[in-house]
Amino acid sequence: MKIWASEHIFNHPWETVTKAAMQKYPNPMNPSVFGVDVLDRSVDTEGRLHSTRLLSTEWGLPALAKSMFGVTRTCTYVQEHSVVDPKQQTFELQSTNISFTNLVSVDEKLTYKPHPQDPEKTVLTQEALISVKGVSLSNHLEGLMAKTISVNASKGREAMEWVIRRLNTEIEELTATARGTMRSPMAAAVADK
Amino acid sequence: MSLSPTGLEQQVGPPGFAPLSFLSRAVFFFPEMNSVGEACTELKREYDTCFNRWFAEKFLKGDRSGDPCTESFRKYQRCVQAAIKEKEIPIDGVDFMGPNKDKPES
Repeated sequence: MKIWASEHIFNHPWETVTKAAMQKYPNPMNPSVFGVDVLDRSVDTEGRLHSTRLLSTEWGLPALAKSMFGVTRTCTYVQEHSVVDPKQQTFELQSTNISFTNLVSVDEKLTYKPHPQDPEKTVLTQEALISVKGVSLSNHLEGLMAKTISVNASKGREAMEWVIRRLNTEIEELTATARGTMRSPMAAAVADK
Repeated sequence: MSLSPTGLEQQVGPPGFAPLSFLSRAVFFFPEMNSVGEACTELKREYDTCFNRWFAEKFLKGDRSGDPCTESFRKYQRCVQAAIKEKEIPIDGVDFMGPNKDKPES
């Protein structure tokens, strides 16, 4: 079993980061994600939004892994459950693979919160638990996977910055074209920044 | 229309230069994701547009007024649940009102 954890600070307020995280795909840094579906969504009695999503990914497994595990299809599915608490300003996501569960288990947890000292910044804490089953090279493979997760995490952060830039660009264009005929609170908030 | 990863990369350039054709699309003209069920992609995008707007403008601002997306969600769900059954995707049971569930072992 391997545990990987990291913390990252975005120079954007929590609301911006949360909107971006909700619309993270597609982005050029994660081209293997080809489908995102919402399976369930609701607001609980405390005003928190719960979402269950299915992420469909196509990896292009290296030939060695294919011959080792005897799989020919490379489509893997991840199920994600998330909770947005707009009062506490937390966005927590937990995901797990639901494909190849007999071979490997990758559980990931991400939490976005405002930076305790600076409300214009957001802290992302991220952890992953990796477990490879029934293979004698499990330590080595788990190490490789942790490295991949680390690389992907940094791509994921790049992806978030990309999504945030897109959101801000859209808002600027909307404001310019609408010229006050359309009142958008979000555009006003960004323009005031 | 979804954009290829290459197409998206080309647009990660100077801000404010997105092609004007985007203006003719829905208000939040974001590059869009597909559904796992190919036939459901359009329904999914309709729902996503509604949801993203409600999420940003109401929910995150503390506005607890009704969710305007229930109808589009229902239509999208019918389609996607059928696609999941058809592709035999091993979805885990949903307990959305409860505490975060533990991840199951295989």
